[in-house]
Amino acid sequence: MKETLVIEAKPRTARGKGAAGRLRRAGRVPAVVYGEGREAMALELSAHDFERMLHRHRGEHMIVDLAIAGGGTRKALLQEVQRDALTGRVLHVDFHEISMSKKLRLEVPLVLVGTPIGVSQQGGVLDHLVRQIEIECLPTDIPEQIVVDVSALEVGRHLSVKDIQLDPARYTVITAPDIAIAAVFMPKSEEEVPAAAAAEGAAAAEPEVLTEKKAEERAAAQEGQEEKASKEKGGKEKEKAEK
Amino acid sequence: MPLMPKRVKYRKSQRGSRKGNAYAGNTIAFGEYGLQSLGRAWITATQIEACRVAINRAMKRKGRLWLRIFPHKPISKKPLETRMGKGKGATEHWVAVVRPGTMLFEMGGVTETMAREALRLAAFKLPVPTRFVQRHGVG
Repeated sequence: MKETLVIEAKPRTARGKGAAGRLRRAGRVPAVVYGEGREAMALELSAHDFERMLHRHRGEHMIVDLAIAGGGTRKALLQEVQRDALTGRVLHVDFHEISMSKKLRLEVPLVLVGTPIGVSQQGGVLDHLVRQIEIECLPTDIPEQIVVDVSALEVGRHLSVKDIQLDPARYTVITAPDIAIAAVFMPKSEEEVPAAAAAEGAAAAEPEVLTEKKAEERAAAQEGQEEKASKEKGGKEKEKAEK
Repeated sequence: MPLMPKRVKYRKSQRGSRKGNAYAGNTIAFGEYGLQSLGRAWITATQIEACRVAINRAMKRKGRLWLRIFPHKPISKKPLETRMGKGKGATEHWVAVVRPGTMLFEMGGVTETMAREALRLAAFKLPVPTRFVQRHGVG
C-alpha cells in the first residue's frame, strides 16, 4: 500500500483537442475522474505540481486524494498517465475513483530477481515474457510490485503465473495460471541465423504479387470463356450449314 | 538476403507521406531498452541488417534483440542512361518509413551498459538522429 497524496484539481468545462492544447500551453494538464457509478468529470491540474509528484513517487498504482475545487475530495487511483512519445511531457491523466472497502482489479508489475542458473552456468538467455499480471485486491493491499525469484531457472525451463507466491486471503490472481512469465533459452548462434535467412531468401528473391496472380487467373478465365463461345458459335454455324 | 515482404498486393508503390510523428510503435513493447528515432527517413533493408549485425556482435550472444521496423515499401529506379517515359522502373530496394518517435530496435536480457554500447554502434548505421530509451512505470 502506497502513501496517500493530495492532488488539487479544478473542474474543466472546455472540451476537445483545441481547448486541451491551450490548457497545456498555459501549464495545465487535462484530466478525468470516473468510477463508483458517478458520471465522469473533466478536470485540469497543474502540470508542474503533477510532474513533481510523479518524480518523487515512482509507484505504478498511487492512491490519491483528489481535491476538486468546489466538488469535495475523492479517493482515486492513478489509472493512466498519457505522455508525449518524443518529449515525455504529460498529456492527460486518468483517475479512477475507488471505494476503500471494495476490491479492485489492476495490473501489477512483475520484477524478476536473481541470475538464473541457466544464464550464469549454462550460457542461456533470460526472457522476461510477461511484465504485468492482473490481480484483485483491496485498495489498502495494492502491492507496488510482485517480486519473482528466477535464480533456480535452468535452460529450457520457465516460470508460470501459478508459480507466483501471493497471499490467497488478500490477493486473487486474474491472469491465467498457465501463462509463462519468464523462460531461459539458448541463443541462436551467428552462423545459424544467416543460414536460415539465406535459405528463406533463396526461396523468395522477389515477393509474390497477389494482384498479378488474380489478373492471370482472370485472363485464364476469359480465355476459357472465349474458347467456349467460339465452340458454341462453330456448332451453330454447322447446324445452319446442315439445314 | 535483405529483409523484404514475402507477399505484396502491388509490385510498386507511390512515394507516400512521411509527415507527422509516429503515433504507433513509439514505446518500448518487448524489451527493456530501445533505440528511438528523432528524425524522419526511409530506412533501407540494408541499413536495418547492418544495425542487426552490429547489435548482435556487441551483445556477444547474450540477451535478445527485437527489430521494430520492417521494410514494407518498395522503391523503384529506372536503369541508367534510359530516356524518360516507358513506365515506372523496377523495384531496386525496400525501405521502412520512419517518423520521429518510432522505436527502431529493442533489447532485453543485457545490462544497461551493454545495451547502450550496442545501440550506439547501431545508431551510426542509420540516417536519422536517435536516442537511447528505457522502460519505466506508469509515471
